[in-house]
Amino acid sequence: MHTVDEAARTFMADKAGQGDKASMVDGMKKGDIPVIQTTGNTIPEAWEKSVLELWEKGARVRTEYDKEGDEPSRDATGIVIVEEPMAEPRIHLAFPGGIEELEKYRQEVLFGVHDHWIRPEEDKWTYTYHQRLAAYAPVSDLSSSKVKSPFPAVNQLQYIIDKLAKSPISRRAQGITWMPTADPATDDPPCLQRIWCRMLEADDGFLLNMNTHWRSRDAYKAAFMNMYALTDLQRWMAEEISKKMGKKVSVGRYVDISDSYHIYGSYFQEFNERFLKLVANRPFEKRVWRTDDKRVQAAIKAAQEQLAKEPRPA
Amino acid sequence: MSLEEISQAVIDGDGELVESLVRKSLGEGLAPSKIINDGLIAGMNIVGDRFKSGDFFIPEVMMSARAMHSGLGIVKPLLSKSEEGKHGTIVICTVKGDVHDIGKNLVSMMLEGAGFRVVDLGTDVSPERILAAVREHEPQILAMSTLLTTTLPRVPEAIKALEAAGLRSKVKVMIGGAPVTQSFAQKAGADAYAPDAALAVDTAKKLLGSR
Repeated sequence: MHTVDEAARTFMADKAGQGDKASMVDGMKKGDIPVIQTTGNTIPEAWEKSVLELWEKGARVRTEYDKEGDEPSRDATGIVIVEEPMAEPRIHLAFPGGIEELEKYRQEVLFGVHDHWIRPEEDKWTYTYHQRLAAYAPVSDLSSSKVKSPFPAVNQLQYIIDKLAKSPISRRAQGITWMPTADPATDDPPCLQRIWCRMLEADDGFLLNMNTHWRSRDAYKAAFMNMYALTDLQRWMAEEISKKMGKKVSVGRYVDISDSYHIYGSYFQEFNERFLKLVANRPFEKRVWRTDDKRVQAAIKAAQEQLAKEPRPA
Repeated sequence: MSLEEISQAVIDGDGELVESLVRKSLGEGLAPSKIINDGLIAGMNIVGDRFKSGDFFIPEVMMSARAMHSGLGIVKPLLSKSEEGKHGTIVICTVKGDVHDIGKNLVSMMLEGAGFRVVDLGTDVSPERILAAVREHEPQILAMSTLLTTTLPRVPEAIKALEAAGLRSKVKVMIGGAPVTQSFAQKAGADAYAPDAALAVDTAKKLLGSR
């Protein structure tokens, strides 16, 4: 098996030989969407490999978000496998923010700390992943948060926990986000479509495996942060199931499946001049941080203090 | 105690070390303005240069900015009013309806690292709050950002509010954010457009003629 840096070097060498031409995935004909699959032990390793593979093998596709002069996006169906989602290092440094933002996003997904920003009537959000997963209630119109659903809200996260605690072998432990009644008409419908969990017996209890399914995915600027938060959701659910069952439940592998896994053309300059440059020039250990790094811990604490001070509706 | 050690601790993003080195420097009688300019800001300038040349990732810039803030928190209260923000004052915010603050925070930290006094109004800021801040802080520059296409119209609205309040000639306006373009900036009546955080510092300096 290649180390991360071997994989990166091979990629850079291949790229040098190819110029900027995409290589077709074996067996694909023109018009087929390439399918890429990458595996890594940790989140940063798996994510970085996936982005490099996408850059190399992705189809050139125009999107409705292109600005004048933008190159076509690189696009593929992407499958990313993280073997040890909680293993360190968990943070790749190529994400568009600081540790505070990463921690706030994690809390958005797990605990809904920004669900009160769902206010389309004020030009704010039409959803959060937490709201869709923890309080799913389809509505006919997302132009106002005042539109009520005819259905009671379903806490799908609690359902997954209860279902797997009761029937560990169930294949029904899933939660969805999409509202066909209203999402297609909005400017920014959810990228995440579904999470699916299943437990298998391990040597000392169970492993909670999780798959996440994404309609569309900004591979370069969003996917790492998504993976960081979703795998922490996986950890939290494993802990909750364990408490309920009275048995050990650990975090199993995480699989992340995107129908359209893409790098926007508008990012290419930065991608070339920062990401590829740093992949080529720095060892993997210098492209990642551990979550137990004292600087990371201090920034996480600061984010938690900032969140505690944020104004919230009564 | 060398100021280079403070700069290096800023570059390394080690806020704990910055704090202890700054306290030690003050104990040794170094002037607060010297610690800021030749230690903290000097370190942050190197970080800015490395970011601009593609040698630093964004989280590293943010971590360095945190470290610089740890030091600034100790020495800033010791500065006289005239020493604070000698490069100029910038009021920054995201526009009404936009709660995404990652880009704005990065720009804010880069500007502060370049020696500007930055008044960060946060996210989802109404034109009324912008006007109040411009009146109160008398900035040379108002910087606004938006990540969403849905909140793009809030940018010209805020600029029009400045005009209506008779404040437009007193402040330069620079804007940025994912959907913003140079032509949008011109149509909106802004003075400048910054396509990313690294260029935001250069743009601010250009606007103030301090390049």
